Amino acid sequence: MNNVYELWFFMLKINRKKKLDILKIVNPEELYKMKIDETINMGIDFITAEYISKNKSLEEVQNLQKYLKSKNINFLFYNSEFYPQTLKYIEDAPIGLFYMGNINFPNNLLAIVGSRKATSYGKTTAYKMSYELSKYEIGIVSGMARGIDTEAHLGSLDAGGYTIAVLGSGFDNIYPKENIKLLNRIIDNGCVLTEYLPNIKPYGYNFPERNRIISGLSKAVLVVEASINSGSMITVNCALEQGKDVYAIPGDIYKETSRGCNKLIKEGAKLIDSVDDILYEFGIRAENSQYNIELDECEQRILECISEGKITFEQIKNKCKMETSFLLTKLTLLECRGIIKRLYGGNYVLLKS
Amino acid sequence: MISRVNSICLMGMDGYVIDIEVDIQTGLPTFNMVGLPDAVIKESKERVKSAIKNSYLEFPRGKVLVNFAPAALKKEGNHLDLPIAVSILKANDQIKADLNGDIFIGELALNGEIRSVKGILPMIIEARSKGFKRAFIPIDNVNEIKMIDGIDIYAVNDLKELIHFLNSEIQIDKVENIKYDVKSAKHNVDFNEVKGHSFAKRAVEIAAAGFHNILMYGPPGSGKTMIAQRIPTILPYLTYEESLEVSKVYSIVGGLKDTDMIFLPPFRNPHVNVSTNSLIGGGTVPIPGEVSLAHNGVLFLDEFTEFKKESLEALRQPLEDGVVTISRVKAKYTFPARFMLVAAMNPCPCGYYGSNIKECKCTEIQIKNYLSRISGPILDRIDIHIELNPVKFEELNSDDKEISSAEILERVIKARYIQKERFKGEGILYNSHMKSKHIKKYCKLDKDAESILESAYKKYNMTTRSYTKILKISRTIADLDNSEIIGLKHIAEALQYRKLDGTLIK
Repeated sequence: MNNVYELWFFMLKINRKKKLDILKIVNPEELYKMKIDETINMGIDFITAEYISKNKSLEEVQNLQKYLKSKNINFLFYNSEFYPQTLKYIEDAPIGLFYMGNINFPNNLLAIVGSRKATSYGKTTAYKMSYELSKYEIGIVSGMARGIDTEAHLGSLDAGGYTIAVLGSGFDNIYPKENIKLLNRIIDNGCVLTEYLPNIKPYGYNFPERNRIISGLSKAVLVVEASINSGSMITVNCALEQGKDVYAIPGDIYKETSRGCNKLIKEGAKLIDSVDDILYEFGIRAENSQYNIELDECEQRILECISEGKITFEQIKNKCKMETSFLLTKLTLLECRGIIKRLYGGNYVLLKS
Repeated sequence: MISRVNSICLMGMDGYVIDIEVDIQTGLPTFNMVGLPDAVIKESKERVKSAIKNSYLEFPRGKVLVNFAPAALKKEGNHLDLPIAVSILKANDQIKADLNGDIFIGELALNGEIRSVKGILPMIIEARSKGFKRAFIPIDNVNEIKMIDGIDIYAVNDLKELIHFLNSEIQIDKVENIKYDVKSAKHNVDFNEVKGHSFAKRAVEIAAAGFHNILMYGPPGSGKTMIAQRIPTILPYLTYEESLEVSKVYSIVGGLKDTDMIFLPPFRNPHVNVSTNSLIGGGTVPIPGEVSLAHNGVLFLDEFTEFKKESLEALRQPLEDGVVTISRVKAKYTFPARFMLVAAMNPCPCGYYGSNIKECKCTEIQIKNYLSRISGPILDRIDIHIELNPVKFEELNSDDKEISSAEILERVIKARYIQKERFKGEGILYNSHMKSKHIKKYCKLDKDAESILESAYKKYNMTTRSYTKILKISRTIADLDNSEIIGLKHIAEALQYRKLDGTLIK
């Protein structure tokens, strides 16, 4: 399936912008078959032309091709019809992408980003937002890092939505390691992308670079929780350069971890405090009926309690005055139906659908 | 002249009868012992000599030879002083009576007083089973054996008194039996003192009913210890056989002096610094550890993650088999250790993750590392996980009547009875001990229950392991509900007690 010349072209060690320029004139197969003087005649500078002519061995490329096939990794070239259009608009679009999973993106994609050192507030919010948005067929793009990213992916997966993870390393070096299980879930229910060759390690400088893909793919970027120097701010800058919208969730003014978000809001990012705000921006009509599933009277009462915010089991019990085992049963049923979620630590939150 | 007197030595939980033979021959005065005595017994020479002299009795002149039979077994213990002294006096003709069918146990003081020793209870039980008629024991140990009938027990004060009695010069009354009466024992705590925490109370009720191990996690001050301490109050009182088994263990470690027998399920609460040997049992001559002392009761490990890794791993065998086996070159020692493990820990290193009072300061990696200190195999053996949160002020002051231990106990006893009937001939007693064949046979779900379990299985990415745990817990919940079939509500409730799964394995 993969064109060997495309992969060859991708692997050439030429500046990305120069490659994009070349692609405007000629496709990789033609370039490969050209002689050096023909190349120069096309307007490619001498050093590059000489480099291309000296690097025409296909052995390494074919090995890589075999390797990709054995690992079930696909390669998506810039010229391919499946290559996401939104990415083509950005200035230094990736020449090619390695991906696993399903490349059929939904129309609406939202990037959810935030700190790796997230508080439970941030994690809950990320999960909740992602979960509820997924119900409206909005795909969630994130970076599969610890903290906010992980929760954003999980929310989408749990809601049965589509989610895209953009990695800052090759497929042989998944980072962080503990997310490998999450990676497999994403491959089954979405797509994992990277512009790096499988053997590339998660070098620090990869991450700012991959952030442009996260924002580039999406319609808008939602920052859930970020400090002033957070990597999420780089994504925000990319988004602004690419002309995307930036949304932010407000945080505690006394906390270092929410300085970044609050600053963004001050500078004009849209303040988000419920999914309806995002749906409005995306032009999707939020369904009015809060729960389009049937609820009995007890469940209704339980949900009223939980809708007030984070709440523990004992508090629900005190307010609803129900028997312990009965209430436990009801809570499980509500959770299985995806209406509420119990967090690590024993608090319940409401997930609107 | 040769004499022979009997005593008992212990090997693990069991005793064996030994003969103590003394031969006195004319010659230069010597005092020798053969038959593998340990250092304590060798030292008893001097105690015996002094005690006899200070009791105004005569220590024989000439060559005294003491032999312990069977010769191949190593003898140990301080309780052989008394039988050695009696045997010498018998050989020396200062005791006229026939000592066949008598057992002597005790340590001697230099003035002839008889001091208390450890392990009286299993020794007396062994003596009774071997058909001995009379046993002479230290007066301080008398409490431990009051419930043993079928053997006449005499508690004696000092050597002189004993010799006078054996020669029928004075009268000593034999120890009077007490009937086994569990009602005489009372817990000094009760669940009605715990305000709020209805979730945790329900969880421990289920744990007690099905003998499930339980893990509680929550911020400091959320009541984990308070609840754990009250778990024995909702475990059924021990039967005579169970009590005897537990009491034997306590007797061996010398923990029975002030009480007669253990009626109530024991509660053991070892400190985090406990060594593996004192937790599991061990020593050159192995003695039972905390797990055996918690036999038929509760072993509470507070700050579970702070225990040494090897100590926790060593819990695997007792949790699986209900016994501890300690191997030595000469012998294998087996102690009973069927306990309910109650573990408590914080949700993260700083303790406040998810708390509504204080913000947690830990990073995700710190929390992951913290949780990963409990290995999978150990977590595997803990059926129920629950979260605790500190009680709110309004709950503390509420006038709601809290459920008492007696009410919970009543339900637990009923559920246990159902299990006992069900597992007749299966070789297990409780739902928590079910193997996969039992689960297949006894965990029948109705349609609704099956469908909710299936959806939960997918939703939470459950493993087969947590799947079987859910089935076991729901079996117990159904038993508490007196229901043969496991229904929707049972499964749904059971799912609430396995929340750590999703956290640990994302």
